[in-house]
Amino acid sequence: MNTLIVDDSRAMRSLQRDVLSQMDSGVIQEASNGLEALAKLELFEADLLLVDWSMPRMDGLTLVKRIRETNKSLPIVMLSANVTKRRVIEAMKVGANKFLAKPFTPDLLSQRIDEALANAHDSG
Amino acid sequence: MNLHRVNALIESSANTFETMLSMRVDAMAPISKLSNEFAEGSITAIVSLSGDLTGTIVVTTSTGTAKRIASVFTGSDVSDHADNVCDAMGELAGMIAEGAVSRSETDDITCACPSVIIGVHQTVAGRASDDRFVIPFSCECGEFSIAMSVHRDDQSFGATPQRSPVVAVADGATP
Repeated sequence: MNTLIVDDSRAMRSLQRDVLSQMDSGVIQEASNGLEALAKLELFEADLLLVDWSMPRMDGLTLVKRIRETNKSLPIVMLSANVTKRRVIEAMKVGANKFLAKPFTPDLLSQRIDEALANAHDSG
Repeated sequence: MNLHRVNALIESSANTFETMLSMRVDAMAPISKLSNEFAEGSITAIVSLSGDLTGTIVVTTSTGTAKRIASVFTGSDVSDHADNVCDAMGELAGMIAEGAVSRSETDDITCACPSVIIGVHQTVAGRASDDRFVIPFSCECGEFSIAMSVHRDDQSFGATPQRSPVVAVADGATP
């Protein structure tokens, strides 16, 4: 399972990398904003995307929209500290498979990853 | 000082530290700030608020405390890497601010990406008419403060819900 972590915070990328390393993870790549993620995805075949909502240059919501224009099946977990009903619905509408509220525990992140993979598998 | 805002910040800070750092924080009594300069510290993380409410949430602390917090947050010693300390403090400030505004009455408040400044006794000032307060906190890494400055016309975050007046209606009457 190759994963692309998209988050502007190094600390958060490192936490997510730690959780993925404990799971059945293959290659893990990182990007610090949506634009960088799109460039990485040209060369890197990801099986899973972890995307932070708030990032400079291109935010997570725009990134997911852009990815879904060409790829409907890639499992995506959207992370955000702002957890309103409207935000969760917005994330799902543009194509995120799961939403994870920050702050989160490592267990919760791995649970959301499993759910997103299962969800994408079922709908694929 | 708006108590709903104070409580939202305390709850959000406690939740963020407990979940991300497995650390308990103790909040002390909030202090109303009369001067325009409402926050001061050597590491200052600022989150601007826009939308139904405009203002700023500022997390300030000493360099030593910031290094200890960042090291616990990342799970490695980052004390020699100022970039990593700023990154961790910015992320925590963002989570605290977003968590606090999530507890507000409206969805229409947006938190900007946090900015972090290193500078001894850096001060942050608000507008003279703003509602300003500071909450001092302590945790096992040391002491830090969270300050909030809100434009007084913005009532949506922490506003007391308006109750409809009770109207007694006699049988057959139209209110």
